[in-house]
Amino acid sequence: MRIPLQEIGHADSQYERPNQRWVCGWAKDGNPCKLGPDGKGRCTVAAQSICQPVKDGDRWVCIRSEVLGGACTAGPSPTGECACPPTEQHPCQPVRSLRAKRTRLTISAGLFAAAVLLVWLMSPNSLTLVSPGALSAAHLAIEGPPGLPNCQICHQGAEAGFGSWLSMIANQTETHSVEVNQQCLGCHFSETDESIAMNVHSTAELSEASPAVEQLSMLAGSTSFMLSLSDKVHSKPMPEQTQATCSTCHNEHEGATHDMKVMSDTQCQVCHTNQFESFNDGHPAFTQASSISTGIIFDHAKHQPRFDDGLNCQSCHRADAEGKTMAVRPFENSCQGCHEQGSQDHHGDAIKKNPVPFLQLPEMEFEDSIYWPTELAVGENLTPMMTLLLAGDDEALPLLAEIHDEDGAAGDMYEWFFILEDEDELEKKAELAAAIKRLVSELADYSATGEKDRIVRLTNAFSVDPTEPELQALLAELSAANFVMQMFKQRYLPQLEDDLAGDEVDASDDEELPVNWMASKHTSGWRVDSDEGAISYRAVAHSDSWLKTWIEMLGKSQGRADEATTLDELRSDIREKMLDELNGDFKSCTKCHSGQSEAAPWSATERLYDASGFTKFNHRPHMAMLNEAGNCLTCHVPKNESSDTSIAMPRGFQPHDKETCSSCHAPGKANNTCLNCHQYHHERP
Amino acid sequence: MKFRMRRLLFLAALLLAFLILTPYAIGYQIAFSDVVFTSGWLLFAIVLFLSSYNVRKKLTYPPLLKSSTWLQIHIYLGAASLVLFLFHTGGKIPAGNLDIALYTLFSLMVASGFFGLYLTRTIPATLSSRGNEVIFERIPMFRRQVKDRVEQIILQSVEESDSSILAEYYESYLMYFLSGPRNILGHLVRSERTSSRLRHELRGADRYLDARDKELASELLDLIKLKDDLDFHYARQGLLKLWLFFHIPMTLVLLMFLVAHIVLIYAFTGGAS
Repeated sequence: MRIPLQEIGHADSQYERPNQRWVCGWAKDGNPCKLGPDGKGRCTVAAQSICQPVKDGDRWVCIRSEVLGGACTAGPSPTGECACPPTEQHPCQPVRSLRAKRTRLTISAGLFAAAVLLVWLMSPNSLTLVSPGALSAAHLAIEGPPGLPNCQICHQGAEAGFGSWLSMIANQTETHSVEVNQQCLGCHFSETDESIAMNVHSTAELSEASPAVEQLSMLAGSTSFMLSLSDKVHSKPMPEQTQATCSTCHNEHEGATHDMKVMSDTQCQVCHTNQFESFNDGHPAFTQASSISTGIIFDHAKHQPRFDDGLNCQSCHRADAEGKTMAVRPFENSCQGCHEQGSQDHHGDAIKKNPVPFLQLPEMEFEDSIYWPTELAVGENLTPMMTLLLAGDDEALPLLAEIHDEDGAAGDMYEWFFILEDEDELEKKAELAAAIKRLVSELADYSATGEKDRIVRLTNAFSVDPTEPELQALLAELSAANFVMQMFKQRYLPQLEDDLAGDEVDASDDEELPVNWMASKHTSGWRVDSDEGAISYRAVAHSDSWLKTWIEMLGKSQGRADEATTLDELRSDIREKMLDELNGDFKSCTKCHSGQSEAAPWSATERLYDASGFTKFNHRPHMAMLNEAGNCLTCHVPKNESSDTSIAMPRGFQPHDKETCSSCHAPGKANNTCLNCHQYHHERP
Repeated sequence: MKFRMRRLLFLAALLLAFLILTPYAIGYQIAFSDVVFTSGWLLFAIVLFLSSYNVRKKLTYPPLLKSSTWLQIHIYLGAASLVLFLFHTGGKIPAGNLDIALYTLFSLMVASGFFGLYLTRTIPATLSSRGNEVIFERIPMFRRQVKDRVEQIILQSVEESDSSILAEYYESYLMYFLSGPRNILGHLVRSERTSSRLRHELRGADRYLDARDKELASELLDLIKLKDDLDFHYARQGLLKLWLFFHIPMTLVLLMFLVAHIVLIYAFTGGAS
């Protein structure tokens, strides 16, 4: 027979209070007091269980209620005192209820966790403990202070500890990721590129109108579901957004084996107007021929006859140490064989070495007594180099500005003279003559004073710091040419120093030299022309240092216009105009050496990493693609009569055939992801 | 709404939310959005709300819905937080010490929550198979009553018969069995081995008993069964209370680590840009 577990009866059931903090200590033995302890854990029965003897006639009786256990067995003493033993007076020791124990455990656990965290966060090696993970392999090499992790290199203030971390939150004026970004840029971008590093594709020029974006916009590809979705959730196209931070794409603290550069094809296409499925499905054909990639301009098509005579790709190209690029061999090993032998060699024309005019005294007549070789000075204009050097003279600069004023003389000296006559400002001619004489004197001065004067002049003229190596090189070249300048001065302005000292001198008193100083027509490249009263320079050989130095100096001064003052603006303007004129003079160099940045790349080994800014290519794994003849024509197809003339092919090759690539770079075969051929950053960090 | 229907509806809603959220999360990830900050704050808000259930149980006023309604919300939101947690962590186990601790704490919280849900869904049914409802706090009292009655029976046996078999049986087996809750772990796995052995011993002695002792032995068998049922209820109801000794304290620990996590995230990353 099954006995009910609990008889539910009104009289038998006492009210349980499991939610109270205290319960009777005897409850675990199944014999709890009926009232139980009070809210402070005191046994209420103990307080009331002492019987309260009441005198009934001549006897004392216990009147304790049934709830409290009824009348005590022993009853009161004859004197009316409670005779219950002490154990019955204190029937239980209240204990905490289950709920109260749980609450205590919860609070204890919380306090313990808080203590553990505080100890953790305030310990000396707290940075190690709070690090979200190991750095990538490349960044692990960054060393921090001795004995400390290198967190503060990116997270400034991290080493100061927990208190500082709280203030880092409170004092943040910009998002921390932007601050961290500055640390990234310090290593990965040059100072000049930092301003554009966080632009889309890290370039200042990319916009919706740029060729790359335009080309992508012309694509008509199918749009995947994920791209449609990301378009919807990502309301603003990337180009319209504010600058992105490095951590937007590069996740650090993912461990040494994590590739921080990883980016999915879908992510690449999020920002572009039109998307396509993959390189093999929708990627546009290569409609543009590779432009300059080595810095050397070379039209392979024009050299086709030489290929027919046995010249092959390896004659001029050789893989670099990494096999990544097919570097161009030095001039001496590749071009010189034909181009230094003169035009009489039917294999190739010699490099043209046109003289570049340096100094020429302009034809000027003066009504006043001005020391000037009127009969010998027959130049029509100032040479560009001379103009640039005169621009370093603050007094001459306004005159040059007038001469080159587009609304005035526009660079024509005779026109300027007419204007001076009309405006009755003939004294400016004398000022110009004085400036030229100062220049000649400085150039001919081989003393330390002359050296210092030339430094000031060049620093002013090119707006560059005197310590710049290009300026130092040009100074050295001018010093080396000092003897030519001295002869020039001696021939045309022999009394120049007296004139500059303030003595009254007359050109008619100039003594003709007993020997013809022009006898040597080729003085280390210097060429003098007594009829023209000019000095010019002709390159001595390939890689001529005088011309190279001038080209590098001009390249350096490009974009260096410090337009803080009016004079600086004038100099910048003069430089721009002279650069245009000098381009013709330097053509013998720039015909093959093309400058894509500040200075012309002289060596083909200074090959740019990427061909188009966003494209990269490694030749080594593609060597197996060489066709049977062992040359490179599998990919590099020379232009021919049937080539599309609307496409510029500066190197003489047709655009690459996409099918050649996609035949291998396909799903299940070679890598066909975007990043395999493209790089996000225009300038490689 | 029937429980089964409600559960099916919730599971369907959870699955639907997962199916909708997954592509959106991937979409945001593709678009380089800081979805992790959104999911993080949402998760923190959910954990705070889930924690408030224990506070609600202690409040008698104001009447903010029934506790059973809170429990339903607690269970469903707790399950949903697991989905959000997976989105927040990207399904990966973190590498940092603090993050691993937080990941472990949250996982233990969810696991203990599901364990508790399992207990509350299975134990009541098993209890009803072993007697009627009994209040947990009263079990010691009923156990005491059983013990008192058994002792009365043994005294009766000694007084009314010449045999001391039942007295010896009490001394050898029942005294320990009745002195407290027994076979706790066995009851958790529904093992009746202890009481079966006791009853088997008593039945084995039946042939040596006289008529009066047989009557008393019969009542003893019922009382042994009763005591065993009480222990069964004690063990299983106790487990229903015991798992909260992990779940609730762990909540506060989790909140502490969450606050530390948020402080560190904002100190070292500056938050969503």
